[in-house]
Amino acid sequence: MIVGIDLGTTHSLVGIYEAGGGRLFPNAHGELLTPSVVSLADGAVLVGQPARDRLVSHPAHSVANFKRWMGTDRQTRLGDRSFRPEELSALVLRSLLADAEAALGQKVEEAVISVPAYFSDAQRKATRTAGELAGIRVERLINEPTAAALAYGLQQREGEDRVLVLDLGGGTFDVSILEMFDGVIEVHASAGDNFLGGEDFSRVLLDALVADQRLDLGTLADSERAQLLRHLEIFKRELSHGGSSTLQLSLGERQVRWALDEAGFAHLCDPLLQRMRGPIERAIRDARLQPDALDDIVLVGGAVRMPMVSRLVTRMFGRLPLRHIHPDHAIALGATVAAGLKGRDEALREVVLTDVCPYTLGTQVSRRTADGQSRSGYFHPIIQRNSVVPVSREDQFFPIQESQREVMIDIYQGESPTVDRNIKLGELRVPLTHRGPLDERGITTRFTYDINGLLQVEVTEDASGLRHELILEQNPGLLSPDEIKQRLAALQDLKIHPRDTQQNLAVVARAERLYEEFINHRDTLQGWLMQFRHALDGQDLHHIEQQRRELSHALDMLERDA
Amino acid sequence: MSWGLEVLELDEDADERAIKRAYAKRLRVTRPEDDSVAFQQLHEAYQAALAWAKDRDPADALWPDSGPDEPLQSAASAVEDAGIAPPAITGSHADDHVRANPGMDVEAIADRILAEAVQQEPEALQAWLAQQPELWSLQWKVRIADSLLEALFSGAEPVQADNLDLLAEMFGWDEIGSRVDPYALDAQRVQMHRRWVVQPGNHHRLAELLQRCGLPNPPATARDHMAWLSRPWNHWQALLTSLSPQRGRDLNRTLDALGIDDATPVPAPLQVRQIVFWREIGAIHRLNRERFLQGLLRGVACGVMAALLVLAVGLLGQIAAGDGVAGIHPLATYARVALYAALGLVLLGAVAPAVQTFLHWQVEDEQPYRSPLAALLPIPLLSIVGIVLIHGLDLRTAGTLLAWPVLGLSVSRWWRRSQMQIHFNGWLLLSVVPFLKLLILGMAYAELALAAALALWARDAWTQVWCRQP
Repeated sequence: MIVGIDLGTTHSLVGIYEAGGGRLFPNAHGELLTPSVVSLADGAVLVGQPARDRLVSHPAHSVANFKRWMGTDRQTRLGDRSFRPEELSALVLRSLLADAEAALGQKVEEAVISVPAYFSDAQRKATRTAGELAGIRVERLINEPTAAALAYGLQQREGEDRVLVLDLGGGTFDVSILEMFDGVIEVHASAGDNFLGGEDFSRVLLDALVADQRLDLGTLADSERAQLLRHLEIFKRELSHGGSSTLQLSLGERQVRWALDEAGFAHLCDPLLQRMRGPIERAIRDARLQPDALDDIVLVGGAVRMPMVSRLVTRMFGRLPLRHIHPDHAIALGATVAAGLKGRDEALREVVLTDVCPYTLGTQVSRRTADGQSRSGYFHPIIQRNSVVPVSREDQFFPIQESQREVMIDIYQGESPTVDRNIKLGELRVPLTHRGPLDERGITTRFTYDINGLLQVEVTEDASGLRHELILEQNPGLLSPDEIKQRLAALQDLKIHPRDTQQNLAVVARAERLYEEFINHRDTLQGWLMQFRHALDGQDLHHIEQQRRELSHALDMLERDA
Repeated sequence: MSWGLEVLELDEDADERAIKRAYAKRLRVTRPEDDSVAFQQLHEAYQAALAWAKDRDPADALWPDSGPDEPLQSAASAVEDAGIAPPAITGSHADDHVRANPGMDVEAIADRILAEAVQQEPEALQAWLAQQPELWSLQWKVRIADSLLEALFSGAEPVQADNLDLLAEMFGWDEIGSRVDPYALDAQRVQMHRRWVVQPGNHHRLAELLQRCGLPNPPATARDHMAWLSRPWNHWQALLTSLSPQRGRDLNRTLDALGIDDATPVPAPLQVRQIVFWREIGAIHRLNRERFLQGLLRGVACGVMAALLVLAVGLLGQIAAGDGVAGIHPLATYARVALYAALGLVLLGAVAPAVQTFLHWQVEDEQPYRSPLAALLPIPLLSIVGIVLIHGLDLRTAGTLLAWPVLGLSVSRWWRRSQMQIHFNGWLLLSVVPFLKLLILGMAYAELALAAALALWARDAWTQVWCRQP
């Protein structure tokens, strides 16, 4: 049974593909969306809404938004342990898998995980490593806009459709142009920005608030800061929903009151909206499509609920985008379809998906300039961006000087015409055995990029026929297989709270958060917490459930009246 | 008939719809995840068939393109490229099928953008660009980009580097597939920034540049030098200004910082003649007219001052001795001395540039010179002359006087070329003492000096010649 997972910056989901379509699994709290937040509580791991509440009450033990750090080796300290981004993602994955296994009644061995289309090679590998650390096989990754298109496209199998999918998630922005006909879903082009997402829009609000109210963020305690961010999130949603809203909260002794309307918010976010234009234009250019040849424009991702995004699209294309697809669930549903495709589900027999490689892959060359000098640092593409995968291309190269004994083929990924602004993936040293004039000492380099995103480089010396190969499995900065084994063992030692206790923990976490936020009610909350903890110690399940319900209700009332 | 259609088993008149259906049917059997080679072949056949159908029916065309994938220089070769790609995009988008929007003048828009880029600061330019309605249309943006690129490369506008970067980002010139050579764009960027930085209003930016290059007191220097270089040409004025060696050096450093040399075009408002003059003054490795004139003028100035000094001393002496101004005869002696001194200094001034060039030639690195081996000749020649003077012509004093500079020349040459770095410490100073003793001996025996000079020269020549082996 292969599951499909949407591992998002702010939320994650898991599901499978069944005869009727994709089915998403609820977590221990009954929600389909699990916040991608990890927290350590008494040496055991909490994932989801309770962890998110603990961002406020125990900021030093909780972390969110770590998807942005995938592909780097940034360490996060939670309590007395430190974690890499892959490990944090692995903890989220484990929680999702537990939910899936609870619903399915069997163990899950394999998953298809969604990644932003514009994720680099290192980031994709980190995602695979996260799967390994969670104890499952991750052979295929699916690009998020493609997943959204899968979910959307399966609704209409007849006719043909050219669709532009805009995915504005918590941390990344992706654009894909797809064509669907006769059950074939063909991606023509992908583009994006890995540093543009809903979080950046929140950041703009934060900066504006700080400037307006003359706050000094450095003086805030961590929990106060977490509270502020939480309220800003709600504020942002209200603005998108209603049109205008007022932010009110107390930070320490200070009362913060800030009114803003949606138009003002859009004005503040104008630079971010401008940044969205570039990838959209590039995707359309690469797909060689006229804007009015598009049949549908689909918006997915939580952040597209902001009206300014629809306005941008309307301004660019002269028409309203479609949104009859659930922006939060679309990618996960698409991931389940991809899982079904991989598992050869009978119902998907007619469906074929072809995707593209979203970035250019090439090597460094030197060229002779007009005045006879040779200049290095040019990026020569071998696989153009947005080529259909799997793809294999070759090109011929020659040494520059007679005295050269070897040629260095270094492999780069990126869109800049000079290599210094591209990402280096690896290198291959090829000794030249044949002597003679320069044009007889050519080598042929072949790049093969397969459907799982693995790049293989093969260099053949033309004169002698000798071959050299390099498979880019390892990336500097990522974990080696031994390290993965080590960390897997370490993670397995880490306890995860079993599902049945999670609801209790959630309510405790929520109470603790409110304890931080509502200073006036601290005594009451303290009392309730003690009472509930006492009940937990008693271990009478029925009693615990009753207490939990009452406490939840009381907390609801408290939040509503405040 | 396209081979693609053959593979898909279609007729010649198959339309796009039929091609797609055939591809879909085959794709279900040849999936990309199953057989990648077969899939690639199928996909290429599909693309070929589509291209065939599109060519046959241009009204059905999609986005205007330049044909099957050839956006970049074909056939990678590290050596083959004869030159850099032409900076402007060759009008492949010009012959497009876009419905012309009546009244939309692409060139006018491009000119307006260029005008804004010349005048505005980066933030203002970015905000302005974001608002332009024409740039929101995806089709028009491409055409405007082409036109703007042509205008940038063919014109001589001063544009800040930051603004050009903004434009490059907006129109995608800094991306692969943009058909703009990155180095050509970079060269253009440097040139435009240079034009901009010498404009009267932008001295503060020039000051920043000078500070980065290590010039003292940048703001005043910037203003001062720009004023000088923009002044209308007057030979005498320039020569008089060049009397102070510091000014010549500083101006040359500023010109280096701006990247202006003999080959680059000179941006207005700087005067070409001024720049040529100052560059010549700074060209120590070459004997030229300006340096000669400068030396001569310096000699004259020193000579006049010396003469006046001597005359003044004489006069004062006369007055002090109580003879009064009446005594012409002693004054005449002084006058003669003054005249000889003046003439001597003038001669010195005239010869000084030549000597400076000679020393530069001997001591410094070989780079600007065409025949570096020729620089090896003077020291042995002079040594031979010295030996001849001492032993052949028996002019010991003259020989010794010649031996000393030759030794000095040899030492400095060897020092510079061996790129030694002295770390002063006590032991080193001690080891110098025997050399000092040798030096004193050499004062008496010119032959020792010449021998030492020849020894150093030989070692240096050996290194130089040996290093030239490939």
